[in-house]
Amino acid sequence: MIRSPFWQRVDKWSRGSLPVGLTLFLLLMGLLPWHLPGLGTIGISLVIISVFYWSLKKPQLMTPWAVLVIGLIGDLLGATPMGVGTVSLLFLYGLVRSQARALRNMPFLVIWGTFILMAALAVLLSWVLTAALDVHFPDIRPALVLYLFDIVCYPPLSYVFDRLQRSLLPEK
Amino acid sequence: MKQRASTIGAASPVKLWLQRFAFVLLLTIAFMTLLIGKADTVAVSRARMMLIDGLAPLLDAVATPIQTVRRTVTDISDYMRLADENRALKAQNDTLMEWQRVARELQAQNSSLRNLLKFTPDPAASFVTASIIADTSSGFVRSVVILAGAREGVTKGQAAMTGAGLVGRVLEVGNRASRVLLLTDINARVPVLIERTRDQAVLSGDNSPTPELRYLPRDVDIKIGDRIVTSGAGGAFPPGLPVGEVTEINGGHIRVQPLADLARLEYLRLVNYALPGILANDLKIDTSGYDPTQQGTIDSLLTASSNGAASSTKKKPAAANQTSRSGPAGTE
Repeated sequence: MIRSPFWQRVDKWSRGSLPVGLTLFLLLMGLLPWHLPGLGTIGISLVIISVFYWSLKKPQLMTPWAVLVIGLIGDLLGATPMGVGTVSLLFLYGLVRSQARALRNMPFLVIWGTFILMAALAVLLSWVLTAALDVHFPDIRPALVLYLFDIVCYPPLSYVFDRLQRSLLPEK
Repeated sequence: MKQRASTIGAASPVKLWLQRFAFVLLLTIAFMTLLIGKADTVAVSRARMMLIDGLAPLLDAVATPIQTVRRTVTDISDYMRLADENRALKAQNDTLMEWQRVARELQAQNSSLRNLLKFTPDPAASFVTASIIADTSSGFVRSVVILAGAREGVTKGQAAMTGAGLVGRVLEVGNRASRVLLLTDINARVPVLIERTRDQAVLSGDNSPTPELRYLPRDVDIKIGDRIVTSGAGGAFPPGLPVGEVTEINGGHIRVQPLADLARLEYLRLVNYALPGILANDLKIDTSGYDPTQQGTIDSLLTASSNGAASSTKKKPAAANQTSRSGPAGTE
């Protein structure tokens, strides 16, 4: 069946917006009152995973502008000091892109290890920025719990992203 | 090849320079939002509530099935321990009946003493019950979003409670949604007193599940299990609202477990005691002056803020059912 150019464009656009759309979806999901035992809330944990993954695998679809917009929406919806999430996500994006060539074709464990390290730096940066803006050091333990949640969630989420990428965004 | 060309470090020198410049520019914009967020809290607060207002129906639609599933799971686990719970409730009922008898006696006695003293009673409180549609807590903040805003009569500074006790206060008000700052948030400060000794203190959140009791007198006689209630100081909250229990005394650090289960909040009751207290003008963020149904400028909001609570009250049509008063609580 031959589709009209209009529907082809719609199809291309919707596939192209998958990484950003998925990240925004995870942002909204993170805001819902899940009441997870021992965790309470997810916040932007899953967004960090999504930004890391898509910046590495599909940088043309997860541009720094998109990261900026995602960060701003996250800061507005969450009650964190304005700009903290935006700076942290852009910092993570910059880290990922700086190592993108070295990480190309690396096994999953290396990429996971890189995520663990880079996410730690992003969380630490957001903690430092929050401390600087609030002029006192917030308790870092809740942030560490969410960071551990990030580490645990990375493999399954990365698997889902891989599947989505292969079926919807095949390499040409 | 196409993908490579789009990445930093694999394109022509000019393109590479432009990409790096764009990234630095974006980082600068991000840092500027940090400064703007710190400098213009009114604009940020307004932008937050506009976005949350817009997303409120969507969040509510998604949150409702999640709440239903969670309630079903809770119901199933409740059925499994129905017999034990029934026994415990019967025992508790006996105790409460005794308390009811005592309360009725005290109420009658209190009423006659007030008549003798010509005491002016506190105005009746009005309240709104709302469901929680988003948990905006993160590693550094503790707050929730409820599906009730200015059109339901919610105003900034109202006490947010569950049946168990105080949960927090309304921080920002939109048209159909509001944000409640929890007791555990690092910016939360509640004037309280120890119910047994009547010593005054401030309950100070630090993002941990158990906020800390600060500014107590040195020779205070405090024990684990002591109940903490609001003191009414500063007019932030009326006195006597149950807040929590002392669970840890470690040197000078005293921790309080809130009576309400803040990790499993579903509905909140926003109680308006119409207190003209410090919360109406703290930090100059007065979103109650912002009418989300009308298009206005930031300047008009700032004007509303500077005019104080009196002018902002006039703008709230839903505030008609709330009792207003001219003096602080219990001044007579």
